[in-house]
Amino acid sequence: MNRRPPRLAEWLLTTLQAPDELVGDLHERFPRRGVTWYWREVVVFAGTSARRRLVRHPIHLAWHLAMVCAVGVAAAYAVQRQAQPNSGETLLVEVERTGWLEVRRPADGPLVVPVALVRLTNRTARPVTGVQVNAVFRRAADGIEWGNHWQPVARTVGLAPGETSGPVLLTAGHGHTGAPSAAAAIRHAQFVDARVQVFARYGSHAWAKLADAAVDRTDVTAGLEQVRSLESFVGAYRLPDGVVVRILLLKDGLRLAHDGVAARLTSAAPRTFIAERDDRRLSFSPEPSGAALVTITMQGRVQVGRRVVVPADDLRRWIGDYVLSDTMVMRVGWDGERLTVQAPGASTHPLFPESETRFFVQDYEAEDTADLEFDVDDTGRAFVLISQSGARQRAPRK
Amino acid sequence: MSTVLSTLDLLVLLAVLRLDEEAYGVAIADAVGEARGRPAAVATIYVALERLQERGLVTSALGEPTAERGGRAKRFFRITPQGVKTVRATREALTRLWDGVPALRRRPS
Repeated sequence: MNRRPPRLAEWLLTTLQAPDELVGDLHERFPRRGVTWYWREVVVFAGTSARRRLVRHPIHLAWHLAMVCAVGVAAAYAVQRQAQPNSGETLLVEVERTGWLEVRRPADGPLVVPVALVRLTNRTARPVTGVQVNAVFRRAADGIEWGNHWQPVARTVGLAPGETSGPVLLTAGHGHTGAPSAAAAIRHAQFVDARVQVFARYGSHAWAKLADAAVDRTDVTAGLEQVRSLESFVGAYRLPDGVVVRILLLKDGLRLAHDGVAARLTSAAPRTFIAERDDRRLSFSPEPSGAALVTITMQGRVQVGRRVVVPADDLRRWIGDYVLSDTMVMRVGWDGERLTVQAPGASTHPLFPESETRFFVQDYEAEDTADLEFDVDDTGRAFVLISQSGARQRAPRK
Repeated sequence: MSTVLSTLDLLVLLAVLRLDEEAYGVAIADAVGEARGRPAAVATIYVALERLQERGLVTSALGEPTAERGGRAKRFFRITPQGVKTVRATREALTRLWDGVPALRRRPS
């Protein structure tokens, strides 16, 4: 428990001219009694103080009534906040796996970084929203930071009571270079171990450190394929009849979205899923070109859809900053393979093409999507039309 | 001036007597709370102590500031001879009232 009383409550006591010895008594007993008790004392003092002052100095009545109201409102707020358990009491972080992951970098060869695969559980009997997790990776020998990974887990939909999130893969930004693979790096004589500390929070509550683990000397590149392969299925797929369906990856798994309705996909086999709404069966298979096929089977009818792939040169022409307002721009960038988009103050998300000009972006955790349609106006200036939740905005490129 | 104390004032004075040299705000509040079976707000106790001091039934003196109190001193209270006399007077008044109610009179064992 915090050993210092709430500053606002102390300030109110001083403002109400509480005797110094009373403030000292409350300070002394606060670590044992807590915030609720402290605020109750402030409220009692405000009430008794107002009554006594009213008898002695009636002219001060209005000022005291205002102060008593302020104390009441502040106390109610503080007690309500105190009633909500903190992040440490609310969330449970389970480190499912740690290890070393090979990240391919086209120009510099592989980078071998420490990773942690975690799941978060809501331990309380009520839903929690705004769940975030942050992993800080450090070299075990000298504590030098190897980067951190912040990830919202259930920003808007939250976690239901007792619910556990899907796997969240947290990766360091730095690691070992020079080795041809993660396995080779781990075997190297100068290999340096790492530790990961996992912090979590919800709502506006403070971060709590919920896990601290040594990173296993294990190459998890192949083992994490399933987690990463789910990401690899995301995109827009064009069916033979011209219909485009979207595969989304949300916090609880894949969804099949079409005509504004999204059906949850439950896993039936490593690359096969069943749509909950209508029992459609979807099987994904990679193509040598890097594209993916989805075979959709329903009531004996089989359709094979191909993921929409747009040549890199056609994609890269939309790179740039798009003006949302006088002070805000949306950045469309390139991660080496895909277009990305970054709204002001938000994370970077990949853009999934539905055609050369139409894209969708999904906020993995917020369970929301937006449509972006790029075009060029009569003067040759590019612009983008952004549609999200029924709202539409036009943003010209800078 | 009334020579009979209210229930809270009586409890506070009795707590000051019992605690002797350790009679300060929060300790008195604990003793009063324990006696009546529900917590007493420290602020309420201070109001009672201020009232008793104005009536000359207790005196007070500041102790040394300590870190655990945020650098603030304790104020120790002592009962005055007038305070002891008032406690006795209150007890006698209560006893007389008590004895006047047959239903509450203690039965011989």
